[in-house]
Formats: sequence, structure tokens, C-alpha cells
Amino acid sequence: MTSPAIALQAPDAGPDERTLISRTVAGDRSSARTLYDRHAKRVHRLVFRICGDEELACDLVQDVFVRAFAQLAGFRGDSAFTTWLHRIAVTTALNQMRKVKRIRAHEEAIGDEDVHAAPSREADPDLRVRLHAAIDALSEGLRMTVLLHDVEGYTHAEIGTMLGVAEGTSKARLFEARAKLRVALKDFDDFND
Amino acid sequence: MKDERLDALLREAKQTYRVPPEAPLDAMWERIERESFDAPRRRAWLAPLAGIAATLLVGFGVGRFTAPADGVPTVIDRARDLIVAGPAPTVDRVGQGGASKDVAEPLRRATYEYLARAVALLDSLPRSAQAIPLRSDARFVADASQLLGTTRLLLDSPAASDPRMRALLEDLELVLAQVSRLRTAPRADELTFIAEAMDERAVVPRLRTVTASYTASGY
Repeated sequence: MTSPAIALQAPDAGPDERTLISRTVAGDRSSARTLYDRHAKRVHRLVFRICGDEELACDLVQDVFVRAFAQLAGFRGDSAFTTWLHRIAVTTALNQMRKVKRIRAHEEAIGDEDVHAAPSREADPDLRVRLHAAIDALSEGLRMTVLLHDVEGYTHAEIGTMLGVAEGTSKARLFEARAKLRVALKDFDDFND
Repeated sequence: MKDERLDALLREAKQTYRVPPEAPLDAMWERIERESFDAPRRRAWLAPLAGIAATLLVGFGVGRFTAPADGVPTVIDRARDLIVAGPAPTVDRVGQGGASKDVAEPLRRATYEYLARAVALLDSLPRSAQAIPLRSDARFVADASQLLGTTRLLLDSPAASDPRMRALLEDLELVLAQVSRLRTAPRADELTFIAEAMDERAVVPRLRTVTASYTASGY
């Protein structure tokens, strides 16, 4: 009888992750490339959803993997490799976003202040657009929780690991974020009901 | 909006919210491979060099900053002594978010002096255009620029191996970059923005905490 682990593994799955990690730490580029191929798209999607900019997302993916490979010898397997890698991705993306946000805010502050004018509600009649705007308008902690839980499908435990907060904090943030989203979309809902 | 409606919208967001274009995997891999497998030797050499460079720069900077009226930069001599003291690393026993465990003693000392100087500079940062002392504008900005250079060196040095120290240095880099761009007569909103950036990240309190941890360890 085939064990579940083997049954779930595709015929061309190649070496398991632990082997790939060991080989990569030893300097094997081919194993590193395999790890990269397995995870890069997911990391790219994650950082793109955090930053919303394709060029920046590509830079972030590269930073994430360079950092991950540099720290790989210290990966002890306490958490899944994916969680470990995605934590690096989230940290890297958030740090970069904070820098970009501050630099942009500074440049805008000393520039034309009219650019701050928010689009009117009439300009965003579509509910989907309104939802996306409402998510973007959340504070960083709330937005990240909604993004990671509701959009990316992580558990609160994983989010806690990635953001460095308690699992309960993640739950509380999601509750607060959803409340804010409901308020932000309330008018639209009333309009359609 | 009802929960069910919001749930449905959020489920849909998985397919609609910031959906990335196709990732250029091969193009991205080139830099990753180059920096991960070709550069380590160079970077391994650079790390201690960056530490030495940071030590030197901090030493000279502090010396310039605290030089007595007769122009004798006594702290430069001290920094030189610290560097000559040898490369033997000492273990950080602070353990309170201070420096990295592997940072060599001269670099630790230089980092402490840099942090103390950063505290002094940011403490004296005017929070309004009226408060800025015109006679010291140029000196103030020059000091910020010099500290900015040191910050960047420290970020590339073993001093930044501690995550909290790295985060602090990154925040300092931003604040100092803003301060060093101040004009002779800064606008009120420029100063306000810098003050808000510092307050938002609690830069000065964190600096004080780290310098206090160094002080507690005998500096």
C-alpha cells in the first residue's frame, strides 16, 4: 500500500525540500534553482500584493531569495520552509514599503499638495474597486492581516509567525479590519439593497 | 454591509486584488544566483572591512564633533587606539537589544559613540522653522550627512547583524537622509514631516534604549 506522502508526490517532484536545502547550503546552484522554481511564483504574488508595483515586486523577490539563501544554513525546520520563506518575504516587502512610503510622502509634502485629493466616490462606482481601495486604505497591520488571511489564505498561526505577533493579535486585527471594511462599503451596500 | 456579503467579496478578492503579471523567473534568477553564489567571498571580505571603515568614520566624525577649541581631535586618537586594539571579537553580554553578539569590540565601541552622537543630533533637531538656530544650520546638516554615511557603513557591517539594530539603523538612515536634505531655511512642513517620521518609529527612544544597554555594559 502506498503511503499518503508518496501518493501525494508527483512523479517528477524531484528531491524533497530538506535535501534541496542541504544541497543549497553546500553551494549547489541546481538545488537552489529548484527551490527557487518551486517557491518564486508564490513569493512574487505575495510581495506584489503587498506593494502593488511590478518592478518593485521583482526587486523584492530577488532580495527575498538572496536573503533566504544567505540565511538558509540557519533554517532549522522549526516551521515549514514556506512559512520561513514567506516571513522573509513579508518582512522584506514591508521594510521596503515603509521606506518608499516615507520618501514619497516627503516628496509630496514638499511638492504640490493637490495631488493628495482623493478620488470621489462617484469615480469608483464599482464595488470591487471600492473594496480594493478600502483594503489599501487600512493601516499596515490591518491590511496585512486581511491580505494574508482572506486573500492569501494563511492561518492566524502562520500570520502570527510572519508578522511577529501573537495568533490572537492576528484574529483581533482581522476582526477590526473587517469592521472597517464594512463601514467603508456601507453606503454602497445601502445603495444596492 | 452584512458579513456574508463581505465574505463573498473577500473570496472574490483572491482572484481580483492586485493580481500580479507573469513573473520573469529567469531574469530574476540571474541576480539571485550572482549575489548568492558568486558574491559571498567578496561579501565575506567586505563585512569586516565595512566594520573597520565604519569604525574609522565614526572615530573621525566623533572627533570632529567633539574636538576641543584648540583643534586637537582627541577622540580620533581614541578611535585609532580602539582599532589598533586588535581584531579579536568579544562577545556581547548586554543581551538587551544592543549590539550583535559577534561584533568586534572596537566596532561595538564605535557604534556606541555613533549612537550617542545620533541621539545628540536628533535631540537638537528643531521641530519648527522658527526654532532652528540659523547660525548652526550648515553645521547641523553637515553633521547629519556625516552620520548618514556612517549609518550606511554600519548597515553593511557586522553591527547590523542584530535584527533590532538593523531596524534602528534603517530608520535612522531615513531620518538622517531627510535631515541632510534640509535647506538653509527649511519649511515648517519639512521639519514637521521629519519629526513625525521620528515619532512614528520612536527613533529617539529606541536610540536611548540601545545606548543605555551599551552604557550598562561598561561604555
